[in-house]
Amino acid sequence: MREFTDKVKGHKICLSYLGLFNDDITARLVAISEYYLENRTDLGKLKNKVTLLITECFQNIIRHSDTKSQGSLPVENSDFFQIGILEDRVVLSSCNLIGNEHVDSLNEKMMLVNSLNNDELKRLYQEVLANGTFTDKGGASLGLIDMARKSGLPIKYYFQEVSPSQSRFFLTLEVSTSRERLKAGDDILYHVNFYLDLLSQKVIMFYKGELSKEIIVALINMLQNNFISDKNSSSKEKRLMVSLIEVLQNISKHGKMVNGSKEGMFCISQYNGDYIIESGNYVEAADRDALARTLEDIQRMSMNDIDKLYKERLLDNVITKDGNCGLGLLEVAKNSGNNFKYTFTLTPEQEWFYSIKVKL
Amino acid sequence: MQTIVIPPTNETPEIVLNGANGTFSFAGKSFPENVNEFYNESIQYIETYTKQPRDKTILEFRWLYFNTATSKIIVKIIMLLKNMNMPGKTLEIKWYCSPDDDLILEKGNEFSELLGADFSVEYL
Repeated sequence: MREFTDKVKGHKICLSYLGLFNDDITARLVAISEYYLENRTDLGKLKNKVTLLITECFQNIIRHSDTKSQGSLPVENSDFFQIGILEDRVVLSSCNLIGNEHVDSLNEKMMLVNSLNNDELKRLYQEVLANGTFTDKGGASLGLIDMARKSGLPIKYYFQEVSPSQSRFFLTLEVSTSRERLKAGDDILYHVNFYLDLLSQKVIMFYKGELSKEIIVALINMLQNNFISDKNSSSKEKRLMVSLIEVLQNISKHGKMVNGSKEGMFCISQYNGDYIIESGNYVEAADRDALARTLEDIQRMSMNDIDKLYKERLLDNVITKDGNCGLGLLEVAKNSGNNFKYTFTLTPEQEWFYSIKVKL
Repeated sequence: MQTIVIPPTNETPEIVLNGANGTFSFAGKSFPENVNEFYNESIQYIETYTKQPRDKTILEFRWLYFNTATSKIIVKIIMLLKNMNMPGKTLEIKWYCSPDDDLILEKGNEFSELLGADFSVEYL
């Protein structure tokens, strides 16, 4: 997780997601983006534009991806979406597989869209709307034209052949209130490499940023959509969901306020059928010792002792005013077979950073 | 008593409290950050019901998943109804889950064992 966190040091929020793509997941992501842009940044006026671009990116993946879905398991070439919200801009990236037979025509479409100014894009948009496709210029779908119009800058893209029949198609869009910022832009290879690193570490989701109630709810629902369906209600995935809820709500309740909000990060990955949750957040120095003691105590317990303590607490009828019940870490220990590691690190800024890694 | 229906949200279950026929049901997911706030209305309703319960009370749970704070609310609700303990009044607790969902099954068994209440596990 550390290497991903280092890559997004300047981000207020970064959410990377690899897995199933559907309209419900689009809605959760839009909810996070709209909530954050409106309430926590000076980029509120970009809200509608970003929503539209997220929707177009997702539609592009949902409609055109050549990835063979394997349910909730990350596949070798998982489709990918990332949103980064920085001080002055929002960056969206995506990757999906396409058949190699489509690479040339898609490349032509992208070049066409990127060669046009705003007025020309508008005319092309109207023409495609009226006629279906703009075939005499190689064809261009409404989605791509709309992305270019809303972003206001050429779309960055990249093809990477992965087999004789398929290629990865990377797309990066930036939106900003500052024209100067947009001229600079990110290098598409930064996003390509980010994706490849996530993929090599079997990451399903990486998040860094505010962990308020609203954002936790949206993140959990995104994962629920990926993991739990009518056909798949296996308890391993449910234990992951339940453990993650406890870890995130723990940060939301006990984490240290940073820049006016509770911030943290987490990463979910999957190795050989096991899920791994890693999370990290700043804690108050005064809370560190008590938390460390609790974690040490739990780690020393046998599973029987954990069960016993869990049941005792379940019956003690104690729920504090803000909803604490003293069971969260025990639940995580139960679900993981007491298989977790934790560290407290004193940062150069003299802040305590707490991280926990749980294997399920 | 008037029936209360609380529709589900992204973090809270659908709740139907029907005091007139003595049926209370909770279905879906539950991980509100503050369970006290969310469940207060239901707890109060059930408290009122226990003063004049029907001959047969049915408590139904169809959970997708829930957080630990919700576990304590479940205990509270079961205890409220179990403690009615009036002659001729019965309580039936139905715990629904899918056959391969051993997490929800495990939770049901835990409540049943801890509270000494009979749960009928109904597979979906």
